[in-house]
Amino acid sequence: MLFDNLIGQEVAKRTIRRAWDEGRLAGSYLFYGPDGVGKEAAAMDLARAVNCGAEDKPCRTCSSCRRISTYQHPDFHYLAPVPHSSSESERRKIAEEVAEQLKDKAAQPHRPLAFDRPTAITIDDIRDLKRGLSLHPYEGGRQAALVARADRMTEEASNAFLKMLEEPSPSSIFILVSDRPNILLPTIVSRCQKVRFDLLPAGAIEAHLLHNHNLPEVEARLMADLAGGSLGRALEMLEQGFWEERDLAWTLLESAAAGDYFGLMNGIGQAADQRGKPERLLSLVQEVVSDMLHLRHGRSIVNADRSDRLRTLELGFGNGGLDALAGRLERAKAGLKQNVTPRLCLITALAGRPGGSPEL
Amino acid sequence: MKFTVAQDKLVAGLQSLIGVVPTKSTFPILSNILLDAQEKKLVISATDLEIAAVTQVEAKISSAGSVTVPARQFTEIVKQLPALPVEVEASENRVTIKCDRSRFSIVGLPKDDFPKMPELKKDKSLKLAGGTLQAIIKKTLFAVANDTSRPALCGVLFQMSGDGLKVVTTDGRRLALFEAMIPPVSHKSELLISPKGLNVVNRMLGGDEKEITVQFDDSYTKFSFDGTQVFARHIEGTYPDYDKVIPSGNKKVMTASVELFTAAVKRVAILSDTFTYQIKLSLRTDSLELSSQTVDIGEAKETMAASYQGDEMDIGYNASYLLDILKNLENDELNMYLNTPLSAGLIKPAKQADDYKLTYLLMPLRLPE
Repeated sequence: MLFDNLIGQEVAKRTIRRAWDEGRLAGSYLFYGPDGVGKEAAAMDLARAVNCGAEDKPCRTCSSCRRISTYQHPDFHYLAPVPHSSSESERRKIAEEVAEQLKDKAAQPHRPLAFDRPTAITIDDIRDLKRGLSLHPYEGGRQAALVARADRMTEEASNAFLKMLEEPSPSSIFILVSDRPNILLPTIVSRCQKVRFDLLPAGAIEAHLLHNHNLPEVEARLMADLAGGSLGRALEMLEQGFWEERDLAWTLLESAAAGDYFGLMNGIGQAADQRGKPERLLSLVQEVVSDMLHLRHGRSIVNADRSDRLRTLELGFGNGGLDALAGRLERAKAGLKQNVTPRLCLITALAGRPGGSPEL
Repeated sequence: MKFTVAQDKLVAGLQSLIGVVPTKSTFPILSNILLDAQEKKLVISATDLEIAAVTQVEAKISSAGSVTVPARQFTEIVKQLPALPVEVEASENRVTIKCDRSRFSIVGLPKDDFPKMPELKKDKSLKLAGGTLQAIIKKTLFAVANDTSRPALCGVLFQMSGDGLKVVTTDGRRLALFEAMIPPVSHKSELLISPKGLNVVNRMLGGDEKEITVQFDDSYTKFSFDGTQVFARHIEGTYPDYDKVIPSGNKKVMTASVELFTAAVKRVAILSDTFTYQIKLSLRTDSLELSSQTVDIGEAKETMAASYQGDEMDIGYNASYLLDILKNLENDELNMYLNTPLSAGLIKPAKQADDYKLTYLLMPLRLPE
């Protein structure tokens, strides 16, 4: 059944399943909501469903379904921000790199494509897509276009895309995926049926980690709590050496509390230049800070295995210090989303003096 | 899979397909070709998902089977081999090529990943002489739009009815209409074929006179000749009603020599604006004056003989569009049917060929005051 491989998201599932059962799917959807909660997984499943030949669509085992899962289906167009170049040889290299990354992504679908150069969805990408969609479906199903991180379209690309949405073809379906829908052109948003995806309950993530990744119960619970409702983040933590990062977060906080700026800069230096690490680190730090606040009010804490260290840490920050730190962390996270230098974000969040932190 | 094949035959087969293989794609399998050793013959397929081509090569098959190999490397290897029998053997995905004292081993990809060749459902068909199809391609493809904002105009319209076959291309500024005199077709159909597919067919046809079977359903057109098949995926969309734009009341007729007119346009165009290529045609009684000018560079003027009996008129055209049309008129003389300096003009050969009729429409450029 459609979406039965998806955790949670009952409202979103119900909305689309109903349309699917009644045979009145919209021509374009916008799946929006926080990162790592199943938007893209749902979009992939919908693309499989509209092209599957089995009785119970999507079967996820037939040739069509398998080729969509591996991004190799001629009627499935996967668009995501990638690097661009004006030189032909460079473009060929990029195409190879994208193909390589899609191969990895087929095995690890929650991983976004990652490049060490600036990426975007440009007008050339939209033109290619338009060209692909202008042809009859290759296998007679319905052409599906999945635009991942649709908010990364350039202005030109957005306008070209809008034109395509304005003249939809009955044999194609667009699924836009974004965690920042407010950045999309309002005219694009208004032409899509919006489906909201929410943060997942920690219990659901914990169950997934227990069953699918054979994690010990304590670790699964801690990780689920730290993932903050995002399965994608939990899986990323799992892959990226979660325990080391957690230790680093603690070291950073302990250095900050002790006023050990050398230790702090050293720790920041270890994290600032790695993709995604500053974000994860800030979340981990936030989790510890919120635990300190919880501890103060006698509530239950996530980092239960380190309650003694937590108590010491809390004393180190004192009363006003903790509140100010929480505020700075929040601003630093917002700053990271707006492309502020990660190092600067980490420094201002952690090294700022209470009440005197520079604004981002 | 194992087969032996003559080097020259294999090269010919591969070279006809290599144009279909895309140079960059996010589908790695598309840079491969499928070698399928069937009973008594080797079937080679290539596709870029828009065009698919299949060709057969005579071969001695020792054991049937199929594998995909990187198209460019495989073709290059076979091309460089001496003209002797080539033995190709695949076990799993490793393909060994042996010929004389050379031995190559390349890594293929499993054939299951290779896109299936299209199958036509409930197809209709017609027969075309190779020469006619090549004339269609040569005389109409230049007017296809390459502006993706109007996908339908990026295709070549094949319209079949009791009147025979009409082929139309237009980019909104010019239009080419090719009416082939073929036996009436009982079914009425309209196909929008991608120019890329037609170019592939054109290249494969070469100079020989062949009969082509054209089969089609809603999604594909298949061109078959000499054991080769080319599938072109149709473009979706509705083609504009071109009949409405072709004027019927253009009473002013100018007749001129194609050769002289072409030469004059080429000369005058040298000093035309580099962006609009605008030249001015001044129609006078029994003469035609061509002129152009570019500010700060200079101006050109040339008068040539032409038969014209209407009111005197000045009209502007894009010289490069005009030349695109002129080079496709094989007759000695052309007729231009005009109305006003701002309405569409028609250009036709003064005498149409025996087996087809050509009509070109060209929109004028507004002359500066």
